[in-house]
Amino acid sequence: MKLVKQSFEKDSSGFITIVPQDKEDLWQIYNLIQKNDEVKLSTHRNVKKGSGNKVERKVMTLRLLVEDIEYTPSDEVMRIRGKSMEPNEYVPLLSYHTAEVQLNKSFTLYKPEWDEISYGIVVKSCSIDEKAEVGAVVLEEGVAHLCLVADNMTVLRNKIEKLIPRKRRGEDGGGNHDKALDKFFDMVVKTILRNFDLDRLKAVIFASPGFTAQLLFDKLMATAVREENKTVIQNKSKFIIAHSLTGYLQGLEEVLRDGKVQSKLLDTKFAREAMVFEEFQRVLNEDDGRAWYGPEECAKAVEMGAVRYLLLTDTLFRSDDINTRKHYIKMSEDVRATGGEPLIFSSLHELGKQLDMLTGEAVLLNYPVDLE
Amino acid sequence: MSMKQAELIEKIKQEEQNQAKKSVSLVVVGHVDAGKSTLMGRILYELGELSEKEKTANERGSQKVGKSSFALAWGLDALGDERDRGVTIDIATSHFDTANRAFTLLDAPGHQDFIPNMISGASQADLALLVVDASPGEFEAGFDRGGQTREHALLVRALGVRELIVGVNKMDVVEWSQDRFEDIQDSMRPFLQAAGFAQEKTMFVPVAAMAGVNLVHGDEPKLKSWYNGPTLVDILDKVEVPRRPIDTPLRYPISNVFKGQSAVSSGVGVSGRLCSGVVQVGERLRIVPGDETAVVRTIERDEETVPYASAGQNVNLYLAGIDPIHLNIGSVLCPLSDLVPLATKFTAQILVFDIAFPLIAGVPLELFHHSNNVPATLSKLISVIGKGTAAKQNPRVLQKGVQAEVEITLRAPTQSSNARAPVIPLEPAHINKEMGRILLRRGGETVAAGVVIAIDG
Repeated sequence: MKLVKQSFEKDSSGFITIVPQDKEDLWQIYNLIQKNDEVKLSTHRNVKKGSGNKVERKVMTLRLLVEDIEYTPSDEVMRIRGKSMEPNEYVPLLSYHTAEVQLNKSFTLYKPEWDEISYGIVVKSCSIDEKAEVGAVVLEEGVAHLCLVADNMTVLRNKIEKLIPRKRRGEDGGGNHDKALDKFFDMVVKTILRNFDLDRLKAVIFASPGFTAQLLFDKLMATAVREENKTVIQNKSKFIIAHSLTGYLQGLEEVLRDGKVQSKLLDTKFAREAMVFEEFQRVLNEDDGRAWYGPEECAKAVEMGAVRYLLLTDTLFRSDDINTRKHYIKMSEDVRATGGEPLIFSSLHELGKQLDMLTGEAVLLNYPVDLE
Repeated sequence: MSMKQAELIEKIKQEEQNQAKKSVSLVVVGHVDAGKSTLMGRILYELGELSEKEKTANERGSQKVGKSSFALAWGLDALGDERDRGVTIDIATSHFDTANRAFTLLDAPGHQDFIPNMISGASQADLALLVVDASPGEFEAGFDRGGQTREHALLVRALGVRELIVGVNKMDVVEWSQDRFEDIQDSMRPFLQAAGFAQEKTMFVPVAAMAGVNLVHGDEPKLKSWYNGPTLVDILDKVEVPRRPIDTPLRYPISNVFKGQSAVSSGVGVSGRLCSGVVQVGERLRIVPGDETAVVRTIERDEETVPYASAGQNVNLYLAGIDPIHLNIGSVLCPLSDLVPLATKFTAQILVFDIAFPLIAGVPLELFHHSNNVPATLSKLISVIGKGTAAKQNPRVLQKGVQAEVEITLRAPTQSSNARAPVIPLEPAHINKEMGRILLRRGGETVAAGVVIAIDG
């Protein structure tokens, strides 16, 4: 994301102009915008031409009062619906419009109040650090998941499924099974070559139980040599073969925790979150009163100042109700003030999704407390 | 020439009473490299199921790649990868007969990574043979935490197997030491009992698979000096045959889909085990999930064609009028009039195993049901039934060893909201016991087993 301009007033209202550059930026913007903010962006609108039924599509810049935001990570589209605030010759005041946020087009966001969290998102996503995006293929015989992993999101690009016949007596050397498996690897390799931009990705992880990942890598290399695919051969060192205990997406979490893979990723946010979450689960199992989840329990724990880690998902901050958002911001600040550490999990990652199912907030305390 | 369902059921019931050889499914489980495939290869050879010609070919083949000790296992390990690496990856199905029983043999992989395949095999079995390695250090490696011996025993029990035979293998390595045999027996008995196997239903038998001692014949002087019990095949010959639910509607979970290649069995073939009910040639069946139907053209049992099959039997069905694209491993074949329900969300009663991390709502799990293996999550913790205490409603967390009622939801693979919700065919256990058993695993560890109580949607 590029920051073009920013201006704030004393009452911390103000605006920023930014240029989103990739789909992760869209996600950040999604977390940034709230109901009753105003946005200014260039958009298309169908306008009646003359008296007939002819409609013309016009490009224009509109300023909208946000009512609703919609975001689909797998399609990389974000739409904002709102009422126009600055009338022009085609659009009257307070007329409804839905605009799609476009990549590489500037975009201005006016907020009545910029708080620590929202400004933090802007600063962080505009930092010049190169972004680490990693490709990953989590697979087992007959099913493969191709995903892209960035700092704040895991996106499933393709799921490939193929029926692999099991072995049967009297088929020496595997017969149908080996043939079908070979075809399956072929499909996966083709999908990888079509969907992964190997030059741009930091690394590509193949993870599976058993030997499947290694076999896929061998197949990919064999295909590359046969087709003289220079991109693959030049990027050979980017591939990491890892072991996971399942071929489903949750296997990825296990792989990303692995040190061998970690060192290839620039950002360690995910690793830290994974570590704290694991610790939380472990303590919860011991049941010594140091791990709690749920809104009331967390609020009580923060009040006591006993919190070491506060685990929140970004879903909580996306609430339409300003007071809810303020409540969580205050909680984070209080935790920091008493020497604890607030962590905000992205709900587009596996861990964030798990935390979401656990009411979205959890605490790990310094000492045991009975909150029930 | 098809019969009415009721007549057929009557006929099968009569036959079962008169039948000399009762059919039983046996799954062979145990820690990796305990010698499961070798042991079964040896039994098949001694009982004449594996021809001299095949055996010689395997001996020659394995010698060529410098793995001559795997010659017997090659009788079951047919995949290229299995032979290259000397480890079983997938279930091998075979059959053999003893004097009074006809066995369907399921040889399971022992390696931790292939437990999903092992579960698919064990869910088709009545009886389990747990193979342990008696050689110094190896038994301990397989039995202590992290070894597969414990997990396999728990799994087969959770999948409904009540009778267990423990084959203490590689006794020749420890010079047929009676002390070693008894040591192993003493350390395993308490665990097996805790796992739910009745004392009188667990038999221990010392064997040496490679040399073929005490499998069919027990003529080893060192063994005879202290052991006068039955051989492994003698024990197998006397196992109890469970009652089969043939009166309930047909449920046939597919464990494999393949293309038949011989003249009688061409076309689309599926294999699996009838959980309940009966099926006959010419019957039209529905494939669940999906809207497709198919007609049963041929039924093949132990490589012979038969006119009908009943609950408890492992058979191959060759189907007509269906594109193989509609047949998936894990789908269930059932009669048109009585379909198995589909579930995305259901309530189950589970027993939590000895786990390192607790189960909390939202934890990602894999749900195993017959050959199905799908991502799922605990969406609600309803209550915990403690040992001797009153049930606790809405628990925060499920610790190890507790029994609990939970709501389980299958997870959609993508984030986009318009994706179809995943479904699997399931039935509450009080309607059909075998269709109601589930296993839950997390990251390569089996965390809980249980039964479906109700389907919620």
